[in-house]
Amino acid sequence: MINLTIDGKEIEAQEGTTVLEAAEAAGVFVPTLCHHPQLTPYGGCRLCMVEVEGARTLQPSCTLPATNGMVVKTNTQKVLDARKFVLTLIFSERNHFCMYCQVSGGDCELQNRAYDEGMTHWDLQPNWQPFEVDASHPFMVLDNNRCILCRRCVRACGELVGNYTLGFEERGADSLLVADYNVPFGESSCISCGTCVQICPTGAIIDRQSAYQGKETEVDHHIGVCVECSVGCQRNVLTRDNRLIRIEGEWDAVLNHGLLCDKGRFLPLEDDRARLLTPLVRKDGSLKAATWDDAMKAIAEGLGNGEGIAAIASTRLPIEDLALFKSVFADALQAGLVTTLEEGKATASLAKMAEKLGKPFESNLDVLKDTDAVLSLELDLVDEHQVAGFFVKRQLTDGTKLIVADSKGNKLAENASLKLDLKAGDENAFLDKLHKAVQYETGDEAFDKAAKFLKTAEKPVIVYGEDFAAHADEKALETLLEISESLGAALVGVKGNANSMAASQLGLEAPIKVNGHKSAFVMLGDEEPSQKLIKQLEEVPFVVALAAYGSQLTGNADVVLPVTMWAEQSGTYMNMDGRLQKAVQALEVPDGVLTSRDTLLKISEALSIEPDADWKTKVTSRTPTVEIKEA
Amino acid sequence: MATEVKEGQDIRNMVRTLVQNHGDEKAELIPILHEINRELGYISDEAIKELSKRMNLPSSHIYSVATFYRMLSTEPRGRHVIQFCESAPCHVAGGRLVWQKLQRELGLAKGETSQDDKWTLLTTSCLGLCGVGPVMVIDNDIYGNVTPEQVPGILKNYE
Ligand code: SF4
Ligand code: SF4
Ligand code: SF4
Ligand code: FES
Ligand code: FES
Repeated sequence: MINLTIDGKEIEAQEGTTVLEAAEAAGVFVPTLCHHPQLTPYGGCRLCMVEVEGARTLQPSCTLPATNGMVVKTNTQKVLDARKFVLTLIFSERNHFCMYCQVSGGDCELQNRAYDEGMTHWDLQPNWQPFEVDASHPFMVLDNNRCILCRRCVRACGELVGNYTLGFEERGADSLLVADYNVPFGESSCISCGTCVQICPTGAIIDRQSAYQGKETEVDHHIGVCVECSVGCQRNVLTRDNRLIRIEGEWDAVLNHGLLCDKGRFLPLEDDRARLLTPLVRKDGSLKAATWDDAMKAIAEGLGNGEGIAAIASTRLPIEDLALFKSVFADALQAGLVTTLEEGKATASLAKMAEKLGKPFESNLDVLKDTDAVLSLELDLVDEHQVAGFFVKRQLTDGTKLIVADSKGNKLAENASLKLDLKAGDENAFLDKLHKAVQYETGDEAFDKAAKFLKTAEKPVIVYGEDFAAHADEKALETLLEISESLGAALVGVKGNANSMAASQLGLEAPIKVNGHKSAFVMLGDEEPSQKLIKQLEEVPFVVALAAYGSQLTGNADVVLPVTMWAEQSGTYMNMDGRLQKAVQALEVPDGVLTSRDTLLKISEALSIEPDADWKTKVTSRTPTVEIKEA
Repeated sequence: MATEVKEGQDIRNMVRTLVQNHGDEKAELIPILHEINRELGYISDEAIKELSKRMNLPSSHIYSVATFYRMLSTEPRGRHVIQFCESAPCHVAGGRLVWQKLQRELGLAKGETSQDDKWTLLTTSCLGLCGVGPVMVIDNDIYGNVTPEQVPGILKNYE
């Protein structure tokens, strides 16, 4: 611990903190622009200057390490003058005619800092040189005229996302933000994670979907877990007048610290599937609008009970819904098949192994943030579970070795230090070979090299996906555990959808085999059914579908019940490393629509069943693959 | 400067050979870019893409470096490149008049290349030769204490 004085206050600070951090901890506000808590201090804009006793000139507090006995002043005339001077230079460098800017009036950090300093104008001629605006990207507009050259976007794209799309052309006043080797943004290597637009302090990068639709203070904020995959990022869903405006990553979230991928940020706002708003019941061969009561009657008549029912639920639904679903169909109706759309592909083999061991064997996702060698088995973290992929990709420039074992086209492999061929079904042979290579030199160059990377690493991680879990048998997993033990490697299973692991904990992971089932109950929520499932259900005489959107499956069904989509419901999710997190309702439930949970309760009533709504004990009673924790 | 027009496969081969000779350490980026610039007269998109692959560096990073330094160019340049120092010491030593004369004589503005591909006119920051300002550099030749009157004569030295 060190002691320093800031504006007359005695402050105790950790060694290694910057003066800015020490000031913030003491409740002293120092304005910043290029600084961002999630990025490495940069010291580019000079707005955060402070006076330090004994120092000849003003010092940038964001990069200055706090030292013992330091005496700092943040509000002397000299400091205030310097701030105004810095802001004046920034304003006059480019086009900052705020009234035409998307972020003006509260969402612009530059404008806000100027108001803080009481600025009403600046004394220098503005630079009249216009720059081209790049609107080629589907989700973002890049406007160099508003850019203050803080490089937050460039640093975020590299340091946080590991994508390195953005860079600067030229230098000084000629500096221009460009993508790749100056290609149009929309044709660049950008993966549309949106981190740059979220971190830009000005209107230089604009979010197309929400432009001019509401400032941060005019919208409602709903902070909860993303339900697009099992990573479980925390995000903020912004709405206005019951309309989705924008989705942002939560900078304070321990897991994703502000990051989201395109699936979590942009794509949910692009959903243009036809919404279902009224129950439908098949009459004389065609689906007709019906009342909820009629629909309940039809279900009571057609569903039957026992072995003849196949019940299938989406793993995008909250645990509460899944537990209730299980209680209704497995416990009360004794259905022949009770499972999920995911069929336990990403979890079943692993869950069995955990039960056999009697304890969890997987690690927290955080191990991926700090590793020097990663072996990825049949998994493309660029396509799926992207934020987990960012954790890996951003370390590659620091020498972290990435070994990608797959046989499919794998985008992560583009960044790999080493590629190994692993075909579906060959898991046993592959792992045997690797196990040997870990023990001695086998003469197989690639495997020996992989083993060397993993053995020389201090924090090796083996990460595997759904394809691996679906094919690996008990023997393969035993070999995997032996390898991990002899390497001291952490194991991470990425699972599937947002509640993939919860479904597994509830034992909802049987393969979908439809043979002779008399009825099917499909709780789709907002999930798009696969062609395979649609085919399988064609032979079932009576199909009930709970769905937010129309699809071929609902078109073929006999009773369709309109349910809520992700933004209209709340509930609990268990991510891939066992964190229990809440999803929060952001939009009102449309008239005539119910949540899947309420629909299940309604059906129970119609069938005179009393289901058990408890989910906590049910979801924690099975030995998990990774420790379950309340987040 | 630029010798023959290379494209596609030629450029990729050249980059590959350069990376083989220099090694793929990050520190070799500038020397390699220098050689590409010398070979092609500029650093083409194709060269950046290939270099990005061979050196495992983001193309944004290579592009930033290639555009940061005046000795490197990402645009085709003329056979002869004039770099005129625009920093203050050269300016006060009479640089402005020399600069005006240069522009008039060549019919080019800052950053332009002549129709016949003979000249490219650029400015540069201080070259560390302020003692003999105004300073200009043509290709690898340095001219100090330049006066407007000397400009036509100097330009005549180049084919
Ligand atoms: S959206 Fe993401 S990948 Fe694309 S430029 Fe921005 S930070 Fe980089
Ligand atoms: S685009 Fe935004 S974040 Fe990037 S350098 Fe410019 S002002 Fe900063
Ligand atoms: S990685 Fe998964 S949880 Fe995170 S934003 Fe993307 S889809 Fe959502
Ligand atoms: S915030 Fe410290 S220099 Fe920009
Ligand atoms: S100012 Fe021209 S060489 Fe230094």
